This record gives sequence, C-alpha cells and structure tokens, in this order.
Amino acid sequence: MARILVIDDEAPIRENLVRFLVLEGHQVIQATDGRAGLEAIRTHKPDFILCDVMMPHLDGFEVLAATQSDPALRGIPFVFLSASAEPEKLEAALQQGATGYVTKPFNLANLRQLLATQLARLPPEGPAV
Amino acid sequence: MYTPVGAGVIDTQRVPVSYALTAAAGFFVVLGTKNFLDRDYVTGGLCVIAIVVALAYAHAIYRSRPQPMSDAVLTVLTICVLTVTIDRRGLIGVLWCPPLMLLLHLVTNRRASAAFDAAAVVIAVSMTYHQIDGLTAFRVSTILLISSAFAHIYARIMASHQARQEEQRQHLDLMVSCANVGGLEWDSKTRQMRCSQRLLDMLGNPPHANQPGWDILEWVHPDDRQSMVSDFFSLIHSSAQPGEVRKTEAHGFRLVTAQGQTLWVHAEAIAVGAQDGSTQKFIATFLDITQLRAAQADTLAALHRQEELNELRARFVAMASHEFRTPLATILSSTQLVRQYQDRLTPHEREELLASVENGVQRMTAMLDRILLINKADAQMLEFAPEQLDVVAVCRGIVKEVEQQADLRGCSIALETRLPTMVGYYDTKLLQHIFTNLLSNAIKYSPDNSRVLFRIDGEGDKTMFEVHDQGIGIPASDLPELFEPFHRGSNVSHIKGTGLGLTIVKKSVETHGGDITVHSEMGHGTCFRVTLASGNPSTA
Repeated sequence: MARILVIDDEAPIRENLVRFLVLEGHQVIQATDGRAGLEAIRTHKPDFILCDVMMPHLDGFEVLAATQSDPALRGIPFVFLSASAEPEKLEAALQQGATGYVTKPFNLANLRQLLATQLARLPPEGPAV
Repeated sequence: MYTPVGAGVIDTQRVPVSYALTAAAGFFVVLGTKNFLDRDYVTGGLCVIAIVVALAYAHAIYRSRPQPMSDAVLTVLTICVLTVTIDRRGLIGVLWCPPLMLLLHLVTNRRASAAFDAAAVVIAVSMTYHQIDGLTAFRVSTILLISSAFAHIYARIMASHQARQEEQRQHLDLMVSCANVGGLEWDSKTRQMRCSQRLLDMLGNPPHANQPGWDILEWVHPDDRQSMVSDFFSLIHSSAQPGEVRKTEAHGFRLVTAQGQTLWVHAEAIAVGAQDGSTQKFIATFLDITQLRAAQADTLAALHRQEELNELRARFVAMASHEFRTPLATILSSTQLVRQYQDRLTPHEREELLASVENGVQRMTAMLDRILLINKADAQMLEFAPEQLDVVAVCRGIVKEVEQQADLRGCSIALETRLPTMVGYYDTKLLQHIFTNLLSNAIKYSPDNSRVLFRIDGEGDKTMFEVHDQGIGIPASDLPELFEPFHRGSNVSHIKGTGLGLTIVKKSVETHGGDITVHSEMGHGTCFRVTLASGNPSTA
C-alpha cells in the first residue's frame, strides 16, 4: 500500500482515479488545483504523485518544478496525466524530472502496471514517513 | 521612329525624273527669256506655261503626290512647246516621239523616266530638222541613256536600302506592339516629351498629348510623382560620359488615365550621354502590369486565406484533442471501474459512475453542437426568429442558469437595469448564446469571490447590454483575433476552454443585426458591450 496524491481540477476524472486507487488498496490524497496540490505534497510527502497538466493557479509543470527544487521532495515519483497529445511537451516533462506520463483517456490496467513498476523502484525506506 | 508612312515621303526611285523635269524647266526659262527679248510674247507665254507645268510635275513626283497628268501627256505637251518655240515646222517631230518612247520603255523594262523621254525628244527633233547629224543624235541620246541608267541604278540601291530600313523598323514596331510596351522619348534639343501611340492608348488618349509643354508627370498618380522624379527622371539631369549608356532600375508606378482609372506600370529607362556630359537621349518604356498585380493580389489573398485556414485547423486539432480527451477519460475510466470492480461497488457508486459516463457524453455533444453552430453561422444559416418578449426577464433567466451551471467559486452576477421591463423583438436562442457565453467567461476569468456586473439599458430602439468583470483581462495583442474560432488568449493557458464561446457570441450578435465592442485592462477586468435593435420599441 502506498500513499498516492492525485492532483486534477476535473472532478469526474479525479473522483474516478481516487476510487480506482482506493479499490487497488492505496491510501489516496486529492487536490483540486496546482496550488492545493503543492501544499499537499509538502504536507503529506506522498509516495507517488499523479498530476494533471493544465490547471488553475499553478499548472502541472510549475508543481513539478517546485517539487524538484526541494531536496526533500525530489525523489517522489511524479507522473503526469495529460490531455495534450503533443509528445514534445511530455518528453520535456521527463527532462524536467517527471518519472512518467499517462495520456487521457487512460486505461486502468496500464495505470495499474505503471504504478506497480514505479513503486517497486522505490528504496525500501521510501520517501514516505 | 513614329513618322507616318504615306504622303510627303521622298521616293528615291523617282528622284531622277523630277531632276530631269526641273532641268527642262530651266531650259524653258532660258528659251522664254530669249523670246520675250525678241518680243515674241506668244512663244514666251507658252514657255511660262511649260515652266509651271514642269515644276509642278517635278515637285509632285519628288513628294510622291498624285501626278497632275500622265507621263505621255506631259511629254507630248513638252515636245509641242519645244518644237513650236524653236520652229513651228518641227511639229512633225512629234510624230517620231510615240514609237521611240515605246521602244525605250520596252528596253528599260517599262520603267518610264523623263530622261528616256528627253532622249526620244532629242532624237525626234534632231532627225526632223536634219540639223543634227545622225551620229551626234546617237551620241547625245547614248549619254542620256547611260546617265539615266546610272541614275536608275543609284535610285534602286537607295530604294532597297530604305526598304531594308523600313522592314527593320516595321519589325521593331511589331515587336514593341507585341510586347504591349508604351514608349516615352525625351528630346534633348526641344526638351519635350513624346509618347508612343501605345502609351497614349494606355493613358486613354489624354488631350494635348505630345504637344509643347506636355509632361507625363501630370498623368502619374500624385503619390508616385515624387518617386518618379527622383528615381526615374533624375537620370536626364545626371551627368554622364559621352556615349555612356545608363539604365534605371525597374520601378512600379501608378498612372491615372484620362478616364480616371489607375494603371500599374513597370517602367524602365535608358539615357545616353552627350559630348558635353548632358543627356543626349532618354527613352523610357512602360509595361501595363495592372492585371498582373491584380492576379498577384488575388494569389496573395488566397494564400492568406489558406494560411488562416491552416491556422484554424491547427487550433481546432489542438482544442479538439484536449477538450475531447477529458470527457473521454471520464467515460473510459468509469466504464472500466464498473466492469473490473463490479462486485466491490455499491449500487450508489455504480449509479454515480454511469451518471459520469452520461455527463461525459453530454459534454462532448455540447462541444460538437457549438462547432456545428459556428459552421451554420459561417454558412449564414443561423436562424433568426424574433418574437415579442421582455428582454430583462429573459436575461434574468440566463443569469440564473449560468449561476446554476458555472463553477462560481464564490463569484456572483449582479443584474442592473434602469427599467423593470423592456419589451422588444428578440430571438431568445441568440440572446442565450450571447449572454450565457459572456457571463460564463466573466466568471471563469475572474478571481474567486468577485462580482460580475450585467447592465441592461435602452435608448430609442437600441438596447445596450454590458457584461463587466474584474478578471484577468485580455492582452491587447489578442484583441484582433478575439472572436476567431478556437482562438484563446495568451494569458489563459491554465484555464480550460474551447475558444468557441466568443465566436458564437459574435456570430449571434451579427445575426441579430447588432454589434459588439470590448474594452479590457490587464489585471483589472474586461467589459463587453452588446448593442441590439429592439425591433419595436416599447418600454415600460
């Protein structure tokens, strides 16, 4: 079981992700925009972050940049959920420190596999408290 | 180059004939003078007639004008005068003339010439009088024949040279007329301008053209005169080496025809330097490129339209890919959750997931409807069915609807109106398209807990609507394309939207016969002002 933070301003998608991750046995925290998401990262230091790109206040890239600039948060796997089909943008996200990306609409089976792979890479102690 | 061919041109072939006639006139001058001195006034008078006829005839032949009488008549007349004035018995000599003339004409390939005629006269007269022996008559006529033959050969050479020149000139003229080029020549002696017929045709044959003092600058578009003088005619006044040929670069000018039409011409000029360093010759050509420019403008406009369409397509693809993916993600994840975790979901959760599928489909349908609406408006097929209604009540209903549907984030809409009701003829659907979009935008781009002001006022048969927000504002650079489909402000990348709302607003306002203006200040807010005709003014 991992503590996963879901940041997305689109309520139906966010709710479905939370429901899916809970059913998968994870502990889930949710945030409705970039600013709330960054606060949640700093407060909860989750094991895994699933973050939308286009959001009010702070967009996904700004959240990632803020996370990467903090040594305490830099190691947390950060996966983008993007409605953009522009591969250059997603490749740029990987350059900036994201550990992966998922394009909308996403398949739950693929998401499950991605989670398993990325969580398995974590050191035994993990960034979680 | 432009001398007309025809009357008045010297015909070298006939020059010797006119010289011979002039010589004959000279002979009669001497003879006439002698007779007048001898008090023989009849013969002297005949000599005067002979002088006048010979000179008139010589001049007519020299200038290729219609001859006053035929060669034969003249010759007989001359012989008559000659024989009568010398000795009236000599009339018999006339009888010798026709066969001799015929023979000489046949020998010289029927080319009549006064020299041959003169030879015939001399032979005839001398044989009549027996005063000149046969050998002398033969010698005189032979000299006359040889000199006439030389004159004839010289005339032929000159004529063929002139014919060649004429052919070349016609060839050049043909080439120039084929190229459709108008010519302008500046004469350094008279300092006058002279246009070719083609240039005059291009200018619509303006009055007083090519007359002293005429200047083509009068027919150059006022905005182009300065550049024509500085870039073009300056060549005339610039100094040059003797014989040096200078050319201007090609220039595009506008000419204004006598009928007031504007012509675009492609002009080039060439100037040749004189011995004193001034310009000896200046020749300019003007090619009419009006149609070419029009075609070029059409091509550029088509290219611009194509670029706009490409941009529109790119914006549509970007929007559609983003805005369709979000509801698709909801639909796919909801259906997979129901399928994969059916047993672990409560009936309420299953119901929620199915409802989110429906919402996703509705969202996509609404987006498609908006695209189709714009398409319909573009094809001028947007329906306009005005009916009598109270516009204040309709707007109040729209405000309520927006407040229910939009994510208000503490924002509120305040409807302000001077009159409690304003009845007029409006199309409800178009009003909904206009104000639902303007009010939802006002809330979407405003900070949390801010106030949107919706003001309605009437004046005469006009109704003014203002939607005023305290939002982020629209950058000035986005204003020109604000109402273009799929265009989104450069400062709203973090706020979701399709870029269709304002296009629908604009098309709806236009269909309603109204107009829309926008005033925005970055960071302070935006005000959209819509003015519609109320149709039948009736306010209470």
